[in-house]
Amino acid sequence: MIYLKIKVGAGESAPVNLFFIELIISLLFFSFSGAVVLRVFAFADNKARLSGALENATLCAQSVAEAYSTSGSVDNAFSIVFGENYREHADGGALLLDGGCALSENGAVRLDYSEDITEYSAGELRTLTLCFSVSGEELYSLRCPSYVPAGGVGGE
Amino acid sequence: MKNFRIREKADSVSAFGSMLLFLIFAVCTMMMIATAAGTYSRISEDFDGIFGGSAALRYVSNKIRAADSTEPLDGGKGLAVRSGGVMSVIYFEDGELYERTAASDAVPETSGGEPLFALDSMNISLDGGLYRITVSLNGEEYSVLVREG
Amino acid sequence: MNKKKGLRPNGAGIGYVSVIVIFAMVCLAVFAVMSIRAAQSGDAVNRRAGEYTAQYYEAERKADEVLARLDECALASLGSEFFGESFIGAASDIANTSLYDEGGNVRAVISAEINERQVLELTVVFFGSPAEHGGARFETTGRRTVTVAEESGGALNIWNGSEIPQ
Repeated sequence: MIYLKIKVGAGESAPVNLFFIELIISLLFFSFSGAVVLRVFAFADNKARLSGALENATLCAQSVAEAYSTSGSVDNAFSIVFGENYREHADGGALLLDGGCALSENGAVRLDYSEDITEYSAGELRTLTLCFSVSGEELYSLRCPSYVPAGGVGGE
Repeated sequence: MKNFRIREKADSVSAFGSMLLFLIFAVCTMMMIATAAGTYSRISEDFDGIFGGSAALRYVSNKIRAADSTEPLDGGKGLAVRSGGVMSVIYFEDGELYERTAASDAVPETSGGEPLFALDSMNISLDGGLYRITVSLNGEEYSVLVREG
Repeated sequence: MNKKKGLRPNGAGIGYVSVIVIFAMVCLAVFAVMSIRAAQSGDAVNRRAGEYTAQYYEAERKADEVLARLDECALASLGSEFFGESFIGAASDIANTSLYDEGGNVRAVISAEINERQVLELTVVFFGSPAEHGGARFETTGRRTVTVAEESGGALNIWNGSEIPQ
């Protein structure tokens, strides 16, 4: 065992354990590098969560788009995808969804939707715009069409 | 003698301090490794979900979109997709999604296919001109609607 | 007096802690890199899938715009004696559309590009007599995605079993 001696007061020396010093230095190094590694993990975890939300948002958007193209109506499309009780959760052109894109009162994913109508002499071209966002940042957006002929009949 | 005892005590305290620090270090290391392992495990499961569950959904959706005609199989087990004189039968059995290719005029059979994706379950139903395809993998369920044609 | 009497063993030897720390940090660093790579790969796949979905419905929107214009021509042609001729004449300037007169009805094939490899093909039949079809002016008989090589008729040169010339 290696010892150092340091002067303490007049004529006195105290031994200092090198193991102790090494332990402190190692802990210091460990804490700095551990902080960096934990930040990297937090970034990767956040990215994975957002990516999962994007995946579910894409599938949800596709379902809404397909239902909208078939029915020609936002109300019918949302009823098919989210269920008849979606109106209870709707808040002026927005819905709150959880990570799995099911309706949720405190969901993290917000779906904003709006419909534009272009009139033609023979019918209407309706465009539904869906915008998914998390914490105010846009996650995914999609525009989907539905052509409704005048007279209401024009079949699939 | 007194000096000796004081020195002995000091050495014991020093040794105890060193061991305590070492113990704290060991506990911190273990906690950090456990956190890292948990995070990596979660990310890895999500990764499997992307390349298993939702990839299977997208594959079946794109098959339906590229088809000339489609025919659901009884029991929601699968789907026969016809395109350009070729029929593809996509079905779920024993934890795998299979695809079997045959001539367009053949009777759809749910055996002898090539395995494509490992899944826990799959169900395809047709309602009001819309196919609802639902798959589950590792406890996660994915669902999508696709128009019939 | 022996100098060694002054030495008191105190804890483990030096170096062990450093080895443990270095080993732990290497393991954690490898875990971190693998996590980042997995998260980025998954994100790239999901973004690509989202882009394709958006491109598909954009193509559908373009196809529906063409359908709306064709429906206008069909509505205008319903009063004429020769529905097919009148409709094809009125719709001749509409791009990305192929029209076929089928004895009283007109079949329209609308193409809309999804991306550089795929095209959305919408087949619609416009009726000369909507009254015979429940008042409907048209019916969508097919909607499918086509790869560009398939659309251009390009075929692979596959051996059909015939004799190979020497």
